[in-house]
Amino acid sequence: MATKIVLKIKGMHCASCAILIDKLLAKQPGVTASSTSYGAQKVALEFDESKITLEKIDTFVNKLGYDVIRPDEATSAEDEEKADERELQLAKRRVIASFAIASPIIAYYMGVHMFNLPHVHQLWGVDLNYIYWVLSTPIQFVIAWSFYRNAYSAIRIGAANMDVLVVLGTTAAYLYSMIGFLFFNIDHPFWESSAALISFILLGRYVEVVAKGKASSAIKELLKLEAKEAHVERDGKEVTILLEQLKEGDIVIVKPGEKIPVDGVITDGTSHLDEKVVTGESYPVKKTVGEKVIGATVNLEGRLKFKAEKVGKDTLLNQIIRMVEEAQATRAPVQDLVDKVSEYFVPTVVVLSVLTFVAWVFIADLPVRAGMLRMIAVLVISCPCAMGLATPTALVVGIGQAARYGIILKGGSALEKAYKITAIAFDKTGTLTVGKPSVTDFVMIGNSVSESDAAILAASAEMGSEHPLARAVIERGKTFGDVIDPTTFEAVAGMGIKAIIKKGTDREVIIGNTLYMKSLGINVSSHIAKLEELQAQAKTTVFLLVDGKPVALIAMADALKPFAKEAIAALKAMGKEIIMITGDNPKTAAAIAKEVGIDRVLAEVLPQDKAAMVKKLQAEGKKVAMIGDGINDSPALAQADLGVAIGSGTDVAIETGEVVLVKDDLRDVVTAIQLSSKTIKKVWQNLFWAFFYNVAAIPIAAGAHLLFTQTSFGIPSPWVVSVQHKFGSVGQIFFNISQATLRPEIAGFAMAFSSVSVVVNSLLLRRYVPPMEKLAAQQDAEAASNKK
Amino acid sequence: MNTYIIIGIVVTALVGGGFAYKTMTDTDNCTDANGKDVSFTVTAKKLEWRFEPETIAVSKCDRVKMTVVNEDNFDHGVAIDAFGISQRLPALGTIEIPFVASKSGEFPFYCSVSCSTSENSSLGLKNGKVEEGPYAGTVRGHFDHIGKFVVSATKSLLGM
Repeated sequence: MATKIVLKIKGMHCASCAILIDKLLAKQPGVTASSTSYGAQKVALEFDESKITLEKIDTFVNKLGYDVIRPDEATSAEDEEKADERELQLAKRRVIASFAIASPIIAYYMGVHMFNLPHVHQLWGVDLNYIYWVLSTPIQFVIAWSFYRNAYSAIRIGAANMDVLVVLGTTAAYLYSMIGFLFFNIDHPFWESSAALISFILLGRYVEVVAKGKASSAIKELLKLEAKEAHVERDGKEVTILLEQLKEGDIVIVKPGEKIPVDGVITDGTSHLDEKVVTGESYPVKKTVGEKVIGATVNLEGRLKFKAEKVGKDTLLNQIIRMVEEAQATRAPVQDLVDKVSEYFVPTVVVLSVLTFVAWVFIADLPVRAGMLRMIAVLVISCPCAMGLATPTALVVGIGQAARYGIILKGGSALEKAYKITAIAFDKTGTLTVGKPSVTDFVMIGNSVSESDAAILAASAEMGSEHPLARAVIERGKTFGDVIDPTTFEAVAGMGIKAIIKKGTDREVIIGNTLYMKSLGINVSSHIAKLEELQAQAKTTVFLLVDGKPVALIAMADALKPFAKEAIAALKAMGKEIIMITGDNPKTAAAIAKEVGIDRVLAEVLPQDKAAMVKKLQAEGKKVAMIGDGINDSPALAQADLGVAIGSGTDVAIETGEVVLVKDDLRDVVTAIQLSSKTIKKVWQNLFWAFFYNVAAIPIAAGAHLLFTQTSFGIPSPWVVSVQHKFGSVGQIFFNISQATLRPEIAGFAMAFSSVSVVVNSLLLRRYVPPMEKLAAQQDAEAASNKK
Repeated sequence: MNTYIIIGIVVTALVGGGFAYKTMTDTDNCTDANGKDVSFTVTAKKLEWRFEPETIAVSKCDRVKMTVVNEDNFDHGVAIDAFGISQRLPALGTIEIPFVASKSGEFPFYCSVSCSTSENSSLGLKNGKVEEGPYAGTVRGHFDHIGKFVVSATKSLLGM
C-alpha cells in the first residue's frame, strides 16, 4: 500500500537542495514518488511502508544535512514560529557579521574603482593585503562554512548544486589573492570578491528566508486562528476542555465574542458569525438552528449551542491548511523544466570555465594567471541561484495570497492551467443562481382538479425528489394543506418525475418538461404559447398532469447570485468566452443568459451529459474552465481543463476541482484566474531575468566580447576607438567597459542583485488586490466623502 | 554515470586538447638561443601620468627585464595584456618584471590601477593641469597613462 504524506523539511537553503533530496529519495527502494519544494520547505512523499519506514527516510535525509519533521515530531504553531524565528535570527546574524567584516574591503575597492582616487595600498605602514587577508579568512572559512558542508554532501551523491559553484568560485578567488600577493606582486587581488560575494549570497538567502516566512504567513495566520479550548455540555453541566479533548457529537457552547472551536450544526440560539478568516467573506453572516458553523470563525452576538460534527484534523480549517500546504509543496510543470536546466547548469559552467582557461592560456597564449582570472569570473558569475528561485517564490506567494481571499489553488499545475484558460463554462443552478427557486406562476390549464388540490398533489409528488426545483413546489403546496409522501416515485433524469399519491384514491401525478410530455405521447400543443411566454421570462416551466390529463403549468424562477453579472462582465473584459450549461430548455436558458450577460448557452443538457458538453467545447480547441458547485458537476469538473468548485465549504466541493472557492461569491472566479495569470507571468518574468542575466554575463566574464572590441591583445578595435572619440565622456565609459573583462567582484554584486530582484519581484504579488475589492474600497471612500 | 566523472573526463580532454594545440602550433618557439637579454628602466613621472620612455622597442624572443620606478606618492600598476603582465607599482616603489617578448606587434603598456587625474584637488595642481614634462598645461589622468611596447618580428640572434 502506498502511503502519501507531506512532511516539513528543515535546512534547505537553495533550490538545488530540493533536487538533491528528490534525487536521493527516488533512489531508495520503496519510495515511489518524491516531490520537494524549496519555497514551501516541504516534501510530498509516496512510499510503500512495507519496504521503507519513515524513520529510515528521516535518517537518509539527515545524512544529506537536512532535517525531516515527522508527524510524530510535529510541533505546534508557536514552536514552528519560534524555530523559524531562530532560523531568521541566525541568517541575520550571519549577514551582519559578514558585512561588518567585509565592509572595509568593499568600501576600499569601491572607493578606488568608482571614484578613481589616488591611493596607497597601505594603512599605517602595513600593506593592506595583510589586513584583507586577516579579514577575509574568517568570512571564507567560518561564516561560509555551510557552503562547504553542503557542497560536500552534494558531491558525495554525485549532484552538482549551487553551493559547489560558490565554493569553487570563492575559494579560487581567495587562493588566487593570497598566493598572488604573497609571491607574485599582483596588482589586483580579489579579496573583495570572495568577501563581497559571500556576504551578498548570505544576504540573498536571508531575504529568501524572510520571503518564505511572508509567503507562508497565510497558513500560519490560519493555524493561529484555532480556538484553544471549548465549553461543552457534559452531564447537563458546562465544562471547559482543551480542544484536543473535544469529540464528535459533543454539544458545544459558544459565548458572544468567542471563537467557534470546531465545525458543527447549531442546535440552539441565533447569532451573527464573522467567517472572514475561513471564507474570506467580509460581512457577518446570520446563523440559526439547523445551520452549519465553521471552526475558527467568531461568534459576534448571541449565545450558541451546536453539535460538533467534525473535530481535529477533519475540520474545514484544517482541510484548507492541508490543501494549501500540499499545493505549495507540489510543483508546477514549468518547475521541472527549470530544475532540469539547473541540474545541467553547474557541470556546464565548470566545463565552460575550464574552456575559458584553455582558450586564454593555450590558444591566446597568455600566462596562466590571466587565464585563471577569467576562469574565476565565469565560476562566480554563473551561480544559478536566481534561476532556481524564480518559480518557487512566485508560486508560494501566489498560492498564499489566493488563500487569503478564500481561494484554494491546488498546486502549481492549477495555476498554470488557470493562466491558459480561454473559455469558462458555468453550471447554472447553484452556481450562477442561488439554487433555491420559488414558484412564480401556477397557471391552470385544465379543470379536472381544483387549484389547491393540484398544488397539494404536485407538492406531494415532489416529496420524493431531490431536485432543487422540487423544494419550490413543495413550499407552495404546503400553503394549501397537508402534503403527503408518494406511494411510488420515479425520477426521469433531465425530464421530470412520476408518482402515485394516495389522496382518497390513488392518483397518478406527472411533473415534467415538454420532452417528457412528448415521450409520454401527451399532446400539449395548445399550451405551448403560454409555456413560451413564461420561458421568455427566464422561468423554468413544467407541466403538471394528474391521471394523465394536463392540469397546470408550474413556472419557477431561481434568483441570480449576487455579483453574478459583475463577475461575468469582468471575465468577458478579460477576453474569456463565457458559456452557460443548463438543463433548462433553450428559451428559459437564453432569458437567464441574457439577464446575466452570457452569450453562449448549452441548454437541455442532462446532468450526466455535462462532461460530454465540456468535451465538445474542448474539441472546439478551447481551454475550458468549468465552474460548478461540485456536487452533481463532479464529472464535468474532472473533464474540464480546470475544475473550479464553488461551494460554501462542502466536502464534495473541496475534493472536486483544482480550484476551490471557499465562499459563495462568483467574483472569486475572476480573482482566481487573475491571480493565477499574474503568478505565472511573474514566474516567466523571473525566469527571463535569471536566464538573461546568466546567459549575457558568462561570455563577458569569459572575455569573449574582446574578440569584437579588440583586434589583438590590449589593442582596441578601430570602431571602439571611433566611438570613444565621437561620444565624449560617454564614449570614454564605453571604451573602458569594452576593454575590460567582468571582474569577479562585479560578477558577485550582479549575482546577488539578480537573486534579490527575483525575490522582490515575487513579493510584489502580495500587493495584488482583487478588482472587486478595489472597487468596493473606492465606493466606500466615495460614500465617506459624500457624508462630509 | 556520476556527474563528476563526466566533468573530469571533459576537463581532461579540454586541457589536453589545448596543450596539444599549443605544442603543435607553436612552431616559432622562443628558445634561449634566439633571443638576447635586454634591460629597460621605465619611470612613472611624478604627477605627469606618463611613463618615460613612452616607447620601448625590442625584438621577438628577447628576454626583457623591465624595471619600473614610481615617482608618485600613490600607487600605480603596470600591465601589458599581450604578455599577461599586470603588476602592482607601490607608491615611491621600484619593481622588476622579467618576461620573454614572445609575440611580435605593437602593444600598449599601461597603468593598471585607478590612479586619479590631475584635476583631483587633493593633488594640488594649478588649474587641475599637469605642470611639468611634455604634457604640461594639459589635463591628464589614469587613462592617459599609456606607453607603447613594440616587438619587431626579426629575432636578434646571439652574436649578431
